[in-house]
Amino acid sequence: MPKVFINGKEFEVAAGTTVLQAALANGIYIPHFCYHPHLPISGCCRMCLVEIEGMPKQQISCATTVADNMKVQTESPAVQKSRQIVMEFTLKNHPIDCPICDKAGECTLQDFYMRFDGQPSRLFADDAKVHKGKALVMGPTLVLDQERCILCDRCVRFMREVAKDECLTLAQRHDRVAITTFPGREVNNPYSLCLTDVCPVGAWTARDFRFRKRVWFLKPMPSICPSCARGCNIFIDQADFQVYRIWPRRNDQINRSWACDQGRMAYHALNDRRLTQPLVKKGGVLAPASWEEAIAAAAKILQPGAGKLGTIISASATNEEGAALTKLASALGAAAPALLFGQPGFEDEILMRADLNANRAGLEKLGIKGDPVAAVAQSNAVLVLEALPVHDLDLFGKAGVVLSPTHTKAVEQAQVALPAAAFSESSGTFVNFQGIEQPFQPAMAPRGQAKPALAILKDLAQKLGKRME
Amino acid sequence: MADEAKVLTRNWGKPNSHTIGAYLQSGGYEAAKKALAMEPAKVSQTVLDAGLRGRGGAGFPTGRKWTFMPKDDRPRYLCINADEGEPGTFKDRDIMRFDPHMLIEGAIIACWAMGCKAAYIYVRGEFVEPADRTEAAVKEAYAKGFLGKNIFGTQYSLDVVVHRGAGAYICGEETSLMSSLEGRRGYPKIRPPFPPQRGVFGMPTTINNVESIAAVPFIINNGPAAYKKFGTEKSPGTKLFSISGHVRKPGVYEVPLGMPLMSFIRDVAGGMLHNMKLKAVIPGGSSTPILTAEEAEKVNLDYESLAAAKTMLGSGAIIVIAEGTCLVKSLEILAHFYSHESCSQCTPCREGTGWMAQILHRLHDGHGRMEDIDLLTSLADGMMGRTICPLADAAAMPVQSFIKKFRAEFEEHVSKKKCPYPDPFPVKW
Repeated sequence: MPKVFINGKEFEVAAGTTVLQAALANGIYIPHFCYHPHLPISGCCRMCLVEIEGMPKQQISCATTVADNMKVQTESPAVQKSRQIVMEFTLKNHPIDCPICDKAGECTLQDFYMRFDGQPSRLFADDAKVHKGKALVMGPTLVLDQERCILCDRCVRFMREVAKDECLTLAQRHDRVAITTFPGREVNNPYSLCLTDVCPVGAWTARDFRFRKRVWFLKPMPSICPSCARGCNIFIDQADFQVYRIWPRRNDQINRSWACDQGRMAYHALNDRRLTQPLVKKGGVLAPASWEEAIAAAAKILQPGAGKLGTIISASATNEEGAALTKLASALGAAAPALLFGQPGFEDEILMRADLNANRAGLEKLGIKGDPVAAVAQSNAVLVLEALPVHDLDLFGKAGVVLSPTHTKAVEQAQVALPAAAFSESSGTFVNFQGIEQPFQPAMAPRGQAKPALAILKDLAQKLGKRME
Repeated sequence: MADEAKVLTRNWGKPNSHTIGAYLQSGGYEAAKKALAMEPAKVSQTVLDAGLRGRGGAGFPTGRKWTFMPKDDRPRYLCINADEGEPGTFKDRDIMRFDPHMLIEGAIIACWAMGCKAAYIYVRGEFVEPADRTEAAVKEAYAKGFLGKNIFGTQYSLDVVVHRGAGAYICGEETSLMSSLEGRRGYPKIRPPFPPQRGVFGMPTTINNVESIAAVPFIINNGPAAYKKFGTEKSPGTKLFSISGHVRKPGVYEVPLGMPLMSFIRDVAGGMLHNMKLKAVIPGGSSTPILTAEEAEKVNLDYESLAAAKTMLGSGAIIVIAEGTCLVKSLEILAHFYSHESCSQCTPCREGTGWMAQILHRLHDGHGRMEDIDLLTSLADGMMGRTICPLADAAAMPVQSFIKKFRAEFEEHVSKKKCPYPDPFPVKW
């Protein structure tokens, strides 16, 4: 393994590592715009220039492979000067419209100016900047501002190399160059919103998120996306009890730096149509009830001897919920839980899995695999634990106690509907299709009167006089 | 004196010199036959011994370049760079117009030396006549069996393809030439990997200038010693110079390297137009640092002498500038050219070239400020050496040298708030 000296400190790195990777891995930050760990090297932004002993010119660290005994300077006066020079050129035709830019607060250009530049502009007030397209609608999900773009080329590389949908290109030359689609094309791709992540500035913005919230008010919390069996690592950005967006959290084994649009848009289900209070059917109509009333009504339906009891659990429920429901079912003398997993969806080679459930692998490992339709047919009453994303379940008039984070078909048909916390509001463990176990913590408090499903199951067990241990 | 040294131009001016009949009459394709009977390594060695240096501008020994091709079984290519775009340079154009077969014969020899089965001639898109004639010459060579399968009845097969560019100066840079040839946007690539390791279509590639390749048949025919008779010890051979500007006879001339610049202007190019006084000379294409009249007196036309004067022989494009010419306007035009031709990939070049052109425009218009002059130098310094390809350097060098050597003229534009010359270019053609 080659040894490299960065700022005089010795590091051993794997052969083939670039200087930039070696520095980042060892806590030495070299600023960069066009380098992205999961995109091919472009080398065009020139921000990551460093001094290497024995080389006459400064080299871009992103494209320079470490050689044994290489001596690199990342903080010398010459390197700092280079950064200021490159920043000045980068800002030359940038509109510097931070006050009205959605990216302000999480903009790499803004951060780098504060951290590595800080020089006053040498443009005169009457120096014209190059004008390009503003607020161009580039497809169903995205808006492009060509003036804010710093031409790092990341979006073009993302569409070509990751999304395998070559729709973007650079048009024109010199300072008139601009990102655009090929004639007659738009960015209409299941991964389109990744462009807003790879874009270091406010050029690509999401139509869904634009002008909704200043990012410094948002609190990003780590979580796991439940929308398919991939189990992408995500951040849930929330403020004042609303979720504003979901975006990918890097995990090189599972989702690298990406997330699909479907998974991101699933945040709407965390805000809208939520079940926020217990409901009990009275005179054929679901009516709000207190938790005590609802638990009592549910216990009446579930008590042993009331009839044959079936249990059903969503394949997006956590391992912990699966184990708890299994124990409760056996304590009540009910059939083992059946698994509700719905219809398969679209699958590709990038992230999306046909299995639209977060935890089928984990629940099947617990032995939960029965058919939900048969479970309903063979029972007089059913206890259903639903989770996001929801799948339609028909209770066929059977008496149902349904735990659900949101309004579903089963909730409509239930005798008792109990508001359960969504994945973002509870802790648990998902096992993805690769068999990777991913524990997660709540990102926010449950909506309204909702409680974590585990707590509800415990309440039910207590009311029924059963112990789940 | 110039008449004796005829390596590249010996057929120019003969009737139908661009056809195969005329070329064969002057002993054409004998060098190719001779080379195919030699060991390939011997051919490279002969070219190396002749001291032929790359005529595209860098001056790297051509024979040495050929030996960089890896010894493996991958397909390999020769690319001939005929994308002659540097302002002031128009020498390769005349090789293709007047003697395209010399280029093809050189290509056969180079391909044999390197084991290439195919060569591409990347011709600048605007060169309609040169490309037409080269294409016609390739067709003639195929018909005679000099190209294609089993050329000259040997076991060796070679295809030559003429490819027309689409109008970007940057495609004369070897790595973006390869990108363009592959059908992609003409963007320079990061080196390493160098073209011999990973070139066009990902295969080993050597890229040579038209003039370098055209000189090869003479070297094979007459031996290294005959070639070395011309020129200086370190810059042997002859070179085509394209001279333009305020001279009586602008055009392309072949002279031995090492000729004093002033005797070239005076004796070969007919001297200064209307006996005007010399103000400055750009010696090697518009990107090379400018020489004052005083400096021009002292330099010779070879790689070493011009390097000692802190400029370059480059592509051999001499631009002669007479007294009365506005150098601010001249530099503005150059800066505009480099800005327009910046491929847009690297930030310093994309933004820097445009910024410099913007400042020069207002300087010449009389809206400049004294700070602008230092700002220009500082922008040029900032661009130097911070980009993937040398276009930023090419744009920066004239700015640095013009301001360093003619600063007073820039200051005059600011203090008088207008161009001090009644007409920036005193003589119209």
